[in-house]
Amino acid sequence: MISVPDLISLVQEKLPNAEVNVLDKTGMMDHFIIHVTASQFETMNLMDRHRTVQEALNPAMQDGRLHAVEIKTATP
Amino acid sequence: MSAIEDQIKNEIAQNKVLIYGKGTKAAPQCGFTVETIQFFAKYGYPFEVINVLNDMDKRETLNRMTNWPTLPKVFIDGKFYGDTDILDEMEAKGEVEPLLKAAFSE
Repeated sequence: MISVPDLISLVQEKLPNAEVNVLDKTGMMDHFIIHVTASQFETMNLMDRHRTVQEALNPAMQDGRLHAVEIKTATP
Repeated sequence: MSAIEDQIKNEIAQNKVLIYGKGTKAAPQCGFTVETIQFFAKYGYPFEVINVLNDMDKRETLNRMTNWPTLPKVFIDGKFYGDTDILDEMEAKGEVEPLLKAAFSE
């Protein structure tokens, strides 16, 4: 279980002022679709964008607060 | 660990489209593995699913080799492409079909 604000702050720690939209896919607060729009992505290829978001979410993945996440990335 | 790496490298070389996932093609054990199977099924090209659900050493080796923490892991023509998060974005830009065509054209 992790709250949406916590998820958003985790991503923004790694990607300051990124726009983060979160959809709770199952209602159990542990399987989310996360759309991240960040200007930093402009210099990253697709794999690195996703890796950056995964790294940002890693603390929550490691301690079990977050079970599964689908990541979508975009530039502004 | 290199025996596992060699095994993985062989598997990648022998399958033009390879999915490391949880469960098998006939009995996938995870929603994301199902999604990835469905993704490739619609293109009609042959693909293989290798079940690593209970093989932690192999999963850790794959994580290290790809710097990608999750399953499924997709390889096309020997190159790593993450999972459907990546492939969906590539598909939206029309990049998957040519990639598969090229992989199977040799």
